[in-house]
Amino acid sequence: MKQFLLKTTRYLLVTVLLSGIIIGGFISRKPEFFLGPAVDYFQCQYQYGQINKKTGFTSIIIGDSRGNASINPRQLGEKWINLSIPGSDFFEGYITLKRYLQHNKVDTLVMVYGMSYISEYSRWFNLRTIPYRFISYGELKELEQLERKYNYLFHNRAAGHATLRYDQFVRELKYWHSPFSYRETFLDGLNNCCFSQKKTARDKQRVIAQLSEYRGYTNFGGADSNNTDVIDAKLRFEPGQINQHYLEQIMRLAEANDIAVYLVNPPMNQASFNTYNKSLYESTINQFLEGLQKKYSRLCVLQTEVWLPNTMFGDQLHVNKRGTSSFSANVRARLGR
Amino acid sequence: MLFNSVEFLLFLPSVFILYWFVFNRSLHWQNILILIASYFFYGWWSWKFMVLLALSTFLDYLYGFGVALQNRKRARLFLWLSVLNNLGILAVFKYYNFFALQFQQGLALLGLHTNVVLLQVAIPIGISFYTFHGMSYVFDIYRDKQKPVKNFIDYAVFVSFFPLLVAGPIERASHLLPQIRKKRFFNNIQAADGCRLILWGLFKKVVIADSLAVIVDNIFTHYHDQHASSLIVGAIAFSFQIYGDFSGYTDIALGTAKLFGFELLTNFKFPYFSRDIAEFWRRWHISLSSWFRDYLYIPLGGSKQGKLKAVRNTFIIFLVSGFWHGASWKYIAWGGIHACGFLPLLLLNRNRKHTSDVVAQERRLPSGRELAQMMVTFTFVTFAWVFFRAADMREAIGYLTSAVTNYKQPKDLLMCLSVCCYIIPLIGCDWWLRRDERSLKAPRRIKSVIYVVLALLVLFYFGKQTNFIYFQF
Repeated sequence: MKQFLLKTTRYLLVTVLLSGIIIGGFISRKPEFFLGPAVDYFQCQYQYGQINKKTGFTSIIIGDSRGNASINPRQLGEKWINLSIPGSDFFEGYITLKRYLQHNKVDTLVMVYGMSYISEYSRWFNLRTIPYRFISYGELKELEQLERKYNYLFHNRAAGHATLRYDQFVRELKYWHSPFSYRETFLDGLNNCCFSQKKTARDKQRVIAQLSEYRGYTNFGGADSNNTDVIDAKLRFEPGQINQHYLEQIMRLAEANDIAVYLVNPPMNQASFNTYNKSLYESTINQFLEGLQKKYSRLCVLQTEVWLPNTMFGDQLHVNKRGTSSFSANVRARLGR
Repeated sequence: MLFNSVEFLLFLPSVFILYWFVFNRSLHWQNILILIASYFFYGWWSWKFMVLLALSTFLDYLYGFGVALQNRKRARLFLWLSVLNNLGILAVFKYYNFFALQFQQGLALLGLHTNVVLLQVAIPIGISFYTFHGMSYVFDIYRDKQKPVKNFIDYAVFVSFFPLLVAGPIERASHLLPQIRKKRFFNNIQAADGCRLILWGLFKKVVIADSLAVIVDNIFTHYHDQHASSLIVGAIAFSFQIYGDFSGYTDIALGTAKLFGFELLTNFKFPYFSRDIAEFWRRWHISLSSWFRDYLYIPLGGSKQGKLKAVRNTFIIFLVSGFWHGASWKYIAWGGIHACGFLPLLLLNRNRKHTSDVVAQERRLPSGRELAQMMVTFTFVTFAWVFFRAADMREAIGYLTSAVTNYKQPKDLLMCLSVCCYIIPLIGCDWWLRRDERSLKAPRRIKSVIYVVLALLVLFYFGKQTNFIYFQF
């Protein structure tokens, strides 16, 4: 029995160790293939680079992918840059502002966030911010403390309180690129690494060329969407407590650095608007925005176009080039420039 | 609980440790532990169906005493009660809706439109397997091949032993019960062999079958838009998917049983190296085909009452075997096709030609004739598998028609290449191991490397947790 157990344990250990070395080796050498979709990786890394360096732009746009797509900083003026990170919310927004201020001066801040991310129902935090290590370990620990205070896991309220510590530990493993956190997607990554090298290199070139040419704006193409409704009208909008905490932090930074802050609700397509219009979801969002306006005197909620025609969308959520042009002009007009 | 799940990876070592370290002094307590573990394993899907399993077990246990009575009339009465009970359970949970719908359609043909009441109950997992366990026990007692078991725990373990509970092999009381009632000792060689079988089974399921499943599902779902060559490759891929899936399950079951000191019946012996359909059925799902042979074909007279009756009996067991797999015409058609393939061999008295040897027993490669025979058999089996895999008869016929008419669609060479990547290693390994089943003859270090590579592949592919195909039966 002893011999059998020893032998079995030895085989298991060797297998686990080898798999760890293989997966870990690939992640460290080719992270773009193994941490998620390569295009996302390049886009996020480019944006992180802009956030952490001196750029000289004093007016910044932060937001999620809709922030990326809906405002072209070139249309707003020479001192504008779009630092939006796809899939992010006020938490990443706060980190963005904090980091950017270390090297730059900011006079105007425009925040463009889809409301669903503020409700903390997004999976992107665990798919981009954590694996791409946008935040430092200290910032992650800070977030964990906040989660313990509010008793829920950021962007996964359904996970429950009982497993909070365990879920945090699993997330930390992912943060440290523990091989077993990436085991399930390893083969897909390996497949791309072996057969899509050229395509990935082309994608990288395209993404970086576009981001640098348009100062962080991402073009979502020219195709019309099929005008699908993406709004649940019966939903009551409930902002996440952690997001509200980080909005508070953003406003404190703005106060300390004398920054004018604008909040923009990105436009939706016509089908979504038809559902949204006069719904419970709309009224609860409006209540939230009115509340913010009252709470923060420095914050101005811009009354931009709520919806745009379908021909201005690249997919269900993101405007295309025409949509960006129209919406950027609208934002520019509202900003009074 | 699935064999290819994290839960099972925790469950198995826990039961193993309790079995050999805590309850190792008492056979009775070891059996009780296995029984509890088996019900826990089964209840993981649905605790409600545990009641049905327990009831079925208890009734067959009682019928066993009735069938053992000296009075043959009474014994026969209990035998029929057992058959009615087991087939009744199957009829209600598995076949009722099928018959009700056929009845409704039959009446509709006569111009009578009715709404039959359908059962909205999921088929309990493994129902076809544990009812057949129970029946084989009662039949064996009736035929004086087995004495009724007095200890209910022993009998309950025989019916519900977790490695074979949900998808076989269908054990015989005369084979498994003596092992349950005998003191078991830990055997290093047997346990190591068990681990190897589990590893090989997981490789076949997780790496081969689950990967092929993605390709096969795509081809069968969109068969209208596929080139004929893709459809042929899709059918071949399914042949290997179902082989990897079911034989993989069986290997894990056999390996798991070995860890607890049990030897289960062999269920597969390299079926795709068969030289005719008769040999295929001696190598594919052996425990089911031998069950039908012993409890249906032979009682019906087998092949000893003239050719006509032999033909009739052959068709009966193949059609029943098809119907056993599921309440659908496609399974009956599948059984019928195999019966048609078996018929010429039966009529020409060539159905017992390859009973003991394996192809190219003394050689490294098969002869041209053997290769041709294997290919013809495989083609026939693959043709029949299309009926098995398709959603219904219409889809099966549509698929086969498209496989000979769709030449305008673009060819998918990458898909063909992917299929080859999965099936060639499987064929190669099976060919290598075919003489001495599962015994890998290679230097120790090479063996170790092979095991580690297999384990690594399983680890990388592990995680999708797809069901085993035979769980639905």
